[in-house]
This record gives sequence, structure tokens and C-alpha cells, in this order.
Amino acid sequence: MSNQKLFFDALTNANFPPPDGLTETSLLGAISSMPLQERFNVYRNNVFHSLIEALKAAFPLVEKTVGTAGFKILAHDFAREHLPSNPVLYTYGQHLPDFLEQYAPLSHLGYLPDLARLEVSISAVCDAPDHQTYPAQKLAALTETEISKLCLDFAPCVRIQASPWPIHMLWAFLNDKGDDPIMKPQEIMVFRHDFSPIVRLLPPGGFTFLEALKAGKTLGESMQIVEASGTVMPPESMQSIFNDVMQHDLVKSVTIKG
Amino acid sequence: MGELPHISSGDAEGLLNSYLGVGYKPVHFSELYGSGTNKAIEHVGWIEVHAENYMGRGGLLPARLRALQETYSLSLHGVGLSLGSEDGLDKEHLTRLVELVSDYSPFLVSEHLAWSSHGGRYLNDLLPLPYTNEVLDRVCRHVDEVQSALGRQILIENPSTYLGFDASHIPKPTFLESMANRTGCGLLLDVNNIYVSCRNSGVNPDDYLDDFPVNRVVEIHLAGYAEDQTPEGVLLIDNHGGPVSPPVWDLFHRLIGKTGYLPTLIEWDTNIPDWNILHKEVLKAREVMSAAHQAYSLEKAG
Repeated sequence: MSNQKLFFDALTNANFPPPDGLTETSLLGAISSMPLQERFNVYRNNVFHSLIEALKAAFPLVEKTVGTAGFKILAHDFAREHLPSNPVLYTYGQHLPDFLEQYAPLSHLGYLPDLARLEVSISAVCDAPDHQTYPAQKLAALTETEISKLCLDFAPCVRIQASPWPIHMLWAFLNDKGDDPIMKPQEIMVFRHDFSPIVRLLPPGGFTFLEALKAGKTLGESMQIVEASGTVMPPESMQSIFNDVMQHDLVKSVTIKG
Repeated sequence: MGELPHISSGDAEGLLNSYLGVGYKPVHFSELYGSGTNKAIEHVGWIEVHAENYMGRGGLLPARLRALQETYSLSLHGVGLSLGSEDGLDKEHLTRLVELVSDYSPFLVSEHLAWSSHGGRYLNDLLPLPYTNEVLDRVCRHVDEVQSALGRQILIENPSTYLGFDASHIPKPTFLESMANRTGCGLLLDVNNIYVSCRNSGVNPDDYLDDFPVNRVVEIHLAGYAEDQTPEGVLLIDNHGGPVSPPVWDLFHRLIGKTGYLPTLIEWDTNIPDWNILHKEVLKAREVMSAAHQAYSLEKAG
């Protein structure tokens, strides 16, 4: 077994002693009184403290919900099971929502995984690569038939989420922008505009509509998919979503199908 | 090393300012950007960021960094290449670094003499290496690989250490010098790391500095440390969470007396203070560097 494998295993298992071959002594033979275990713990603490801090930065609303102490325990438990796969730590924590689905100590907060998903989306849209935008005014000359055949290539700074929980109300409440949430499913679109994240409540069917559009369906086909799902979405709702998407520069390019 | 593009030619004040840098934190954007072209007031010539915080990223952070590049030179300081890794370099991560360096054209690129990845998992710390011939060969191979991919020199920093290895048989300064000689890399000398490591291992920091290959040093880091008090004694922790300590300023003075002006960075990564507190550290570095440089110039002239 490699030396670094032994070091790695000891570092990531709190009950493991430091591996053999380490010393408090320098090459000059001087000895400091601090025991080896204490010295090794500096590295162990550095690793987990820094990962907990990275998660705190990415999930402020989850932390606000469970409290500072509770979040620290949660983050430590998560980090032990899910070490980062690379050093780009601003993307770390994408598996936290799924981890929360199985995390017994917080299972009474059923909405927590979806709240974490919202925070993953907020980070993702804030950090998404910059993109060229499609000028909305170019669409002004299109006929209604041509518009129904439009396919939109979305920018990477747009995410959608459908939740059985009042996810938009939760977000507003935790940001001191709304009243106590009442129980109902909600759908949202999260996007970046002028460098800031915007969390937009979608009308019923809005998620299905945008999901179809993002999958490459035309506007007309996407409306049909919404109708087939049994959801009634008035044309003005579709128009409102479409306008939102175009006015906030969330489309890279458009094509007219067939 | 690239050029320091913001040197004010013929102006001694401007020349000194051009060597002074700060680790840039987004919370200080307004103060740094607000200084605009009047940067002499702030006495800051360059900024440094952790490379990983900007890799593949769009949005506000990179936009602001590019705005700051109009006034300040930029240094990219990597923390994730894991140059001492037994696994070899992570090619995807190296590609990210190549793209970042190509996008931002920094005047300095640096990394650490450490390892941090194993088996496809990343430990967010600079883990220690035994100083052996085998490890020297491995690190040199990886430094060569990085410099070849980037098409430029990188600097390697001496990290703080809290323990040693029975297997080590090469003194750390000798190890660093051999690495620099074999690969052509420069050294980033973190003065706080010298002090922390020496205190933790019972070595005299002045002796260590005397042994250090200062002629290979291209950049200097200054930072604060914390003291971990336990019943068994005190361990110094390199936490970058406070002002530079007096003995580290003394070591810095001795170092500049040996090297003359070098790009010098104030690092403050945790418990990040208001700008005016950070700026005081820059002014202190300026004062020490100026005084030490006079001694250096006199010695050279003599």
C-alpha cells in the first residue's frame, strides 16, 4: 500500500492513528513537545474545516434553517462521505440534496433536500460560463406560426425546479421577503441577470413547458406537452415565461424548425 | 517570470509600490477598484487570487477580476495541482489551469510543494512530503509537466509543516534548490511558513533562512498564524487569519536584505478584515521592504 494511501486513510478516518513513519523531529534533531497525534490532527482539522466552510458558503439557507451547529454536523457528515472529486471547490456540494434525502437526523424537515437543490441552482447560475445572447428584437418580425416553430438554445445560467413543497415561499421567507410558507407545490425558474440570481415563481405547467423547451422541443410542441400532462396553462402564461426568458437574455440562439 | 507591467518608470515610489501585492478577496473589490488609476495612493501594484476559484467560472467574480486587471497586475496561485502526488498529475485539472492562464495572462503563476489528491478524491489541504530522492524525482517530473503544458515558468511555494518523516534525508532548502535547478522553476518563499515550520520543529528560523536558496526566489508571501495551545505545548497554525507577526517581519527584513526588492504579497484568507486593516499590512510591508532594500543597496555598492 502506498504511503499517501495510508496517510489519506488515516486523515479521513477519525478513529485511525497517524500512519507509521511520521516524526515530530526535524532533520536537525530538535524535538518539540507537541505529540504526533496533535500534529497530525492539524491536517485532519484543516481538511474538514475548509470543506465545511465551502459548504456554508454554498448553502446559506440550509444553514439558516438548521442552525449553525446543526449545519456543521451535517456538513461534516456529508464531507466524510463525499470528499470533493477535484479542487474546484466552488462547485462542491452538488450531492448534498441527495444526501439529505437519506439523512435521518434531519428527515423531519422534508423540504430541506429541495431547498438545497434550489441553492445548488443559485450557485450554478451565478457561476455559469458567460454566453453570447440572442437579441430578442430579432423575433419581432416573426409570424405567429413561425414563433410556434421556434426552438430555443438556453444559456447555461438557467435552471428549473418542480417541488412538492412551497419552494418559492420558502426561499422568500428565508430571505426575509415573504410570510410563513403555506403547504403547496411550487415550480421555479432560477437564472442570472446582471450578475445576480433571480428566483422566479412559475405558473402551473411552467416547469413542464420549460423542460420541454430545454429538451429541444418547439414552443408549439412544448405547449402541447403541457396540455397532455393535464395542466391548464393559459396562453398568456406561456407568453409571460417566453418574454421573461427573452428579456433577460437567457437564450443563446434560436432556430425555426421545419 | 512575466514583467511587472504597472511599474512607474523612473519613479522610486512607484517602483516600490509595484512590488507590493495583496491576496484579493471579492469583499474588497470596491476599495481596490475605487482607487482606479490613482493606485499610488493605495500602494498596491498587484493582486493574487487562488486559481481554483476562477476556473471555468463566469458571472460576477471573473468580471470583477478582469476589471481589476486594468489597474493591477495579476498573479495566479494554485492550491490543487498536487505536485507531490503518487498518482501523477490530474490531467483535467492541468487543462483547467492552462485555460485559466491563457484567459488571464498573469505575470506570475505559482503552486505548492505538497500533495492533496489521492484515488480521485481531493483533500483541501497542503499535505506534507518526505524529502527523499524518490520524491524529488517525482516532483521535478510533475513541475516539468506543468511548465511544459503552460509554456512558462511556475513558482513553487514552501508550505508550512507540522510533522516530519523518518524517511526524509534531504534538508528542505536543499530539496527546493535541487528542484529549482533541475526544472528551472522559481521559488515562492512564504516567510510565515518558514517561521511556523521552524517553530513547530524546533529549528532556528534565521539559520533556515541562511540555508534557503534565496537567489531562486521570485515571489514572497507574508501572512499571520494562530497559536494552538494544548497541555503539551504550543503548535503554530498557518491560518492566514491575522496580521503578520513581529518575528516574521524581522525575517522578511533579513530576506529583503539578501535579495533586494521582490514581489511581496500580504495573504489574509480567513477572518478577512476590513480593507483599511489589510492595507495597514501593505504599508508595513512597504516600510520594511524600503528599509531593508537600502541596506541591500549599500551592501551591493560596498
